[in-house]
Amino acid sequence: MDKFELLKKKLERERKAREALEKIVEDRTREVYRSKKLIEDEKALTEKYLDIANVMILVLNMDGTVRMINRKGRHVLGFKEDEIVGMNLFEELIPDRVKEEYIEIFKALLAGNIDSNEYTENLLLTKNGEEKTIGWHHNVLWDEEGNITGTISSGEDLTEFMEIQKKLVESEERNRIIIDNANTGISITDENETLSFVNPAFASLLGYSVEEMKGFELSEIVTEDSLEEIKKQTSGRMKGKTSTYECTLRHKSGESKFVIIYASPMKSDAGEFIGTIAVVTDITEQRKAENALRLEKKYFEELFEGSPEAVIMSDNEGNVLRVNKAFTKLFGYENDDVFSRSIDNLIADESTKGEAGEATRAVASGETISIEGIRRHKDGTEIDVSILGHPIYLDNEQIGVYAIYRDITKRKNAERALKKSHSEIKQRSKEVRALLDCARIVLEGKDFSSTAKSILDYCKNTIGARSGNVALLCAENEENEVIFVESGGWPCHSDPELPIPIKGLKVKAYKSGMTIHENDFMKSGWKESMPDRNVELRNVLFAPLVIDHKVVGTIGLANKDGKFNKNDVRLATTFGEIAAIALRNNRYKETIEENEERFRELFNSMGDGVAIYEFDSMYKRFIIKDINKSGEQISRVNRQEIIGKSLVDVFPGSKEIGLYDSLLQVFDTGIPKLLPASLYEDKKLKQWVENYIYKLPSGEIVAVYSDITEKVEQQERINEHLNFLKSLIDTIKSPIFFKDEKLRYKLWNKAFEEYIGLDYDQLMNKTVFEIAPEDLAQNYHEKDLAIMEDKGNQVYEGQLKFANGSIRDVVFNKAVYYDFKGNPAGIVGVILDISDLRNMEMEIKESENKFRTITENINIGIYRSTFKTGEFIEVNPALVRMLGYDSREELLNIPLQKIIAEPGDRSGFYEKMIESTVVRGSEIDFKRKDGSIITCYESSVVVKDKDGVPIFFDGILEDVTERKKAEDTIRQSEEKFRSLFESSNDAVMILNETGFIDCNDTTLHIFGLESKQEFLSMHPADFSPEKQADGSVSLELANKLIGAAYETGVQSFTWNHQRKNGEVFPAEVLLNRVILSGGTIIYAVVRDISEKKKLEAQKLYSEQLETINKMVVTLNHEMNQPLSIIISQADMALQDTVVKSQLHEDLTMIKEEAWKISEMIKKIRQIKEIKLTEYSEGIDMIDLKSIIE
Amino acid sequence: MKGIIFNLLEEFISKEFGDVVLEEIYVESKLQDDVPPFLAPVSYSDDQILSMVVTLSEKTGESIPDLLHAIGKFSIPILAEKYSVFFENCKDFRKFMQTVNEIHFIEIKKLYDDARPPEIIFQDIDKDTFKIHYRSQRKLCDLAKGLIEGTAEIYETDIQYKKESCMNDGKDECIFEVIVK
Repeated sequence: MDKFELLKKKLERERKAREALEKIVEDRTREVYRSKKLIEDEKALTEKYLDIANVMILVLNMDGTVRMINRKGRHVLGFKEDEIVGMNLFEELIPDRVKEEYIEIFKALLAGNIDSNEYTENLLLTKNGEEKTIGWHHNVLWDEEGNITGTISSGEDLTEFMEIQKKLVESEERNRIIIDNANTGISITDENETLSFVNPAFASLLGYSVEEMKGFELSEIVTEDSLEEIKKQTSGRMKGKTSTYECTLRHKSGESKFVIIYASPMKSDAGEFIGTIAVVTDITEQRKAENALRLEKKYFEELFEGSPEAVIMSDNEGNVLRVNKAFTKLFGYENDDVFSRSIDNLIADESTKGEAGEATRAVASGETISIEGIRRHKDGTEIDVSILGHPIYLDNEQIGVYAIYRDITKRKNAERALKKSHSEIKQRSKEVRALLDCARIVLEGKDFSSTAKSILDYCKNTIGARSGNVALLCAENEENEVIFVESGGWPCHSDPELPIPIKGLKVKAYKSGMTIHENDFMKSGWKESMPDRNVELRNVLFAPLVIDHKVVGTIGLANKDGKFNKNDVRLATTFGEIAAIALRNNRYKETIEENEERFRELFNSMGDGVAIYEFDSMYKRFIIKDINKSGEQISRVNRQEIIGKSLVDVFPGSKEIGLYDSLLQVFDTGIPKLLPASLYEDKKLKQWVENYIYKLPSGEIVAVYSDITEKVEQQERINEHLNFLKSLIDTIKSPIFFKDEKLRYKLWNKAFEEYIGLDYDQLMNKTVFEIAPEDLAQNYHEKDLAIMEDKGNQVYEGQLKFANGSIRDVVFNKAVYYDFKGNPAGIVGVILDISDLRNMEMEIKESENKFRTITENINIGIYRSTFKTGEFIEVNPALVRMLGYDSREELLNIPLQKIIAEPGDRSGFYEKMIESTVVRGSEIDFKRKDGSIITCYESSVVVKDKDGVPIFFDGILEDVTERKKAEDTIRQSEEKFRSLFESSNDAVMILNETGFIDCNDTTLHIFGLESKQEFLSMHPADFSPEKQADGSVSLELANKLIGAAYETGVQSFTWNHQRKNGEVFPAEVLLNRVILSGGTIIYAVVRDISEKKKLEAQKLYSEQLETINKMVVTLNHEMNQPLSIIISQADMALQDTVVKSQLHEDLTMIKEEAWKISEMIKKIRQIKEIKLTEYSEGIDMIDLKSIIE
Repeated sequence: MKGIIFNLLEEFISKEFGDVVLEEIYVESKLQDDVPPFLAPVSYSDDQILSMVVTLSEKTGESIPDLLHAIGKFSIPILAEKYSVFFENCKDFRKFMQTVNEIHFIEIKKLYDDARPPEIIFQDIDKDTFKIHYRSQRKLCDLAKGLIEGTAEIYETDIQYKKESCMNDGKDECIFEVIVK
């Protein structure tokens, strides 16, 4: 082959190639043109779908002018399309302060210096100048020659998100301030009981800094005896329990701190226990004070119980609160017998009640009384009593009285009341039986007329009325329709068929809805309103029949023997209620019958075909029992012709589509079944049908079906349409997908495939359950169902597994799209990756969550209110509970000032807050919703704006009402006993092994002391002379008796005491031992008996005088006679003797001495007092000589 | 097979053996009446190119595998010139091999929607080693070898490779282990 030939062949081939290529180019050009049109159409369609999807799409030219922006973008920025297209983004839509920065980013993007799909957050100005934060994904656009022509960005409006994020940060900050400033300790421990958080109050409570405490084990700060309790409580919390308990913590210095802990569990999102939040209140000082109060209370209780006198305590109404042992001994009544009863009813009889009541009232009104009277012992014996009544004061308010008795009274007999109660129970039992019988009759559900008759009979018989009727309100509400009348054997000539006008007494029953009666009817004005020829009515009662708060009839009773009483009214009312129930039931029954009729109408007017089948078990076939009108139309059959025929005979194709098997399955299992769309075909009918089959309680099978031929065809058209879109949406970098109405993936872009790493075959026609983990799938599926239901747009956040295995946070923008008929045809969705944003948000949220969990769980109220107006902005659940409101929203509508019990208590609060920013622990009373008052410790913090102007209060309220009550109760109790202690007429002293520790004012008075301090510095022997009457050394004997009291419990003796001025006086002393938790004490009761001794001495003296007088009278009588004889005989003898003789002198002496004796006796008879003179050591004799002289 | 491959073969024969040999091969390969010329976007039956290679082998005494290897290696500089954007977008040999399937498969499909290009799957082993999985109905793994070598030369990269399995031995795919030195 030569060169020419070679060249010729080559040229020939090139010519052929050129011609062939020209043809190809021509074909391709045509094709390109078609493709271009197609792309334009598709572009329009894509824009339509992107408009549906909730994502902004912005296309910019190289010079920054807007080439295209979708509806969402225009909506966010507030522009119309013709306004914004052509506008320069950087000159007109970017705030000045960021303009330069954004232009640099744009330039870098166009220069290819920024990776494709770059994410930025930018500020854009809306039409009205508002700033919006938009999160963008940018991509550059290329022309066919590979030149960059602009950018395309898909974006999301993050303005609201950023606001929320800002609020979260603020919320976290706020909660932190609250918790840091709380004067209550707050801690968080992890599941291993290691402290992960403490607030300054908690650290301060234990003497540490917050930093020092981090990482502490609980065992390092809990005392050993509380450790077990803590473990027990933690175990409960692991089961989700919240608890409040007391325990002891160890201060850094080693000192014990008593605390109340309110602990609640913390759980992870998965519900696992991850730790404990504890609110810790220091009650150390409170505990000390309580212990001191308890000790004092115990002292006084023992004094009360050990008093030798009978003492009672009562409230201001005279109801006994407590009596002591001496009272029980004197009157025979134990504490349980008298508690809460009137002392006057107990120990005063009819003749003394008036006087006793007056005394009680006098003491109750604040007087101290001291009276004498007669009271009775429990056994009925009378006792003379002296009574000292004294009021008891607490905080200048009288809270009760106490009385000291020396006598007792007898017990009251409560048996009469018991008998009365028994009789009443019998009567009630009879009534209840009648009511139950009536209830049974109502439940039998007979017609109202016969039920009403039975109820009337029971009502009549139970109450004892002879006549009666039941009447109902006519439709016109003006007359009564008589249901039943019983004249009770009395003549009645009125026509029972005629309605009774509502007038007279009956009007009252209708108007009031109450049972009305008149016991003297014939003499009352109501008689005039009685129908003509009605039965004579002696007494009348009407009980209303009330339904839905409206009186619809009455039960009338009449002619009871005797009178209708309150119990009859109560009973008749109840019978009326039962009759009303019967009437209502009767009306319900009628309604049900009407409903059945309506459902029949519904059956026939349903749009879906409904066929009812009965299974013929012998021939295994389904017999058509009924079919509605729609069924006739859809299946093109005549109801009359097919009733009674078998399914397969009428619908030969039913087996092929599985209808027969499905009916059989539902018949066997009773479980409803949806038979999916199937193409039914027989000689005369071809249609797509969908059946829903279920079983009736009667055993019949119902098939609800519809012709969905048109729907199926529509679905096919949609599928074609979706395929068409596939290539279009591949140009979008954000993942986009379409699902059909059954939520199957039908179309998606390349970004979607790359994002989740699945290919065509793995996605096409799959539901989310087939491509995603079950838990995520269920979540997405529910969202899809919701949006299909709502037919709107849906934006929500979720997680997706990225192709590389990482889980990414994303925002789904979904919208429903519609078929040509406007029916929902599926869902279009756009996924925006917000993982980075989410991570940042999570960090903030986690922190915010921690503090929010604390505020939500702690049992102290937390609020934020406006500074100026005091309106609540936020309240936590504990505050809502504390103030007794039903919901947070309800409390938010109540201004703070309105719930402060005494607004004056808070005066100066604002000034103080402005001055110091933080106020801790002020005590203030709040008014709860129900009006009750609670006392709270309030700590508040002022929140200021950037200019330092106060804008909010953040406050913490700790409810201390119960604690205060407990303190008051103890204080009140202590006060009662102290009152008794202080006002006792006896000296009462309390001493322990170290000496005196307390005394009452009477002690100071008796011993002539100036003050308690003086008393406390003395020894018991200091109040005694050196020796007692029996010569014992007072100091030794006192120590011996006190020692004996310590050993035996009680010592009672008489003692010579000595006042400060040296005066010795006799006293009765009672020593009582009291064993307390803190040690043993002795209380001593000293009664000054010097007056008593004086009286006894005077009595003895008088008795002695009287004895002497008697003796003198006797002497006078017995001795004067012999003396007269001696004197007269001596006179006579003297006359017979010689003067100056011995005998004469002797007789003269006899006469003179006898005379002296006689004169002495005369004088002795006249003595008024006795003088003694010492006869011998220790023995006195009457000094007659001095008396006579 | 697309006409562009025939054009590369024609250019190879013309350059390596002269236009006369090329004309002879046109005649002796018993090609269909209307060809040549082979037009780049048009599809031709695989038999024709095999026939041409077999004829070339008979005429030159070179084995068919050697010829295919040489054709592959010869083609790369031409392709790199014509479709420079694909090579420029990849900074090195490894990156190119990573994306070759995407370029090859997608871009060819884009240009010639009826093309049946082979699959060339990249498998990462370590920073210096990777494997290439070649799947094609035509089983032209020798051509693939030449293409790999040619590409390495374009990127001035020293490589060492071995074939671990071959479709011609009844396997599903040919696997080349490539070590970049």
